[in-house]
Amino acid sequence: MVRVKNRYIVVQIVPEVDAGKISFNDSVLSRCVMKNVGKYYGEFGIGSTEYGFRVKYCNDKTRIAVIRVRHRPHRFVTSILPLICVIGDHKAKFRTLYTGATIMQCNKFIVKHQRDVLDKTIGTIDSAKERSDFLKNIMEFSVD
Amino acid sequence: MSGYYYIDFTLKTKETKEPLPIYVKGSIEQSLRTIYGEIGGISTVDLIKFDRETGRGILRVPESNYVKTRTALTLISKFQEVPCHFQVHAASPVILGLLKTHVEF
Repeated sequence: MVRVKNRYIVVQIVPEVDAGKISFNDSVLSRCVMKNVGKYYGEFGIGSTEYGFRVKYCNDKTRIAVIRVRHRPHRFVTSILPLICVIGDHKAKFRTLYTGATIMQCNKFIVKHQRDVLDKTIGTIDSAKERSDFLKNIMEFSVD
Repeated sequence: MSGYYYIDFTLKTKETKEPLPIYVKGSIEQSLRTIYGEIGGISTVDLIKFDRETGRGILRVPESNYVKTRTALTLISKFQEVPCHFQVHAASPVILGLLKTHVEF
């Protein structure tokens, strides 16, 4: 039997102006990545990346997304991520946080990463309600 | 070896107008760019000889880019908006290897 290997890339979206709220969804992200793969690796790049490509998880509030790509063509995607500077209509960059072989490993990583973020920011929030809302937003994780 | 690959080809097109070597090279580079993109399609392609009457020429490419160039050459279907194709007669890492042998007759 032949097994299809995948790679899951955990990315963080870093907007140019941090203050404004930016919204993005699966289709915007995948269109943006595929467009850039086409630009830098041509039709060959699109052809090899398209099959198995999917944005598995996308969180607006924490600005973290998980992209699934097939093993081998994942190099095309990982190499062009630092070159992207416009996502949808916003000026933003991708920060690759982690590349894993299973979504469970990515989940573990995201939870750990979010816990670190939480530790840093929770002290600055005053009201208890805001704090519980923030906790709920930042720690939820559900994959499509 | 020399680090290069030599490709002996003919540009076959229906139009009788003699093609300019610069446009032939341009069309090969354009094809490389569409198929392999800005990063993948970077390659030095040298058209070292081109006969405008017969449309036959010799191309020199680095050994590492031979496969890519050969694909790009095969997939060219239009030359200046006229349907065409590239016929490869021989490819060799040594330029002497492009000489005709009894096999071709």
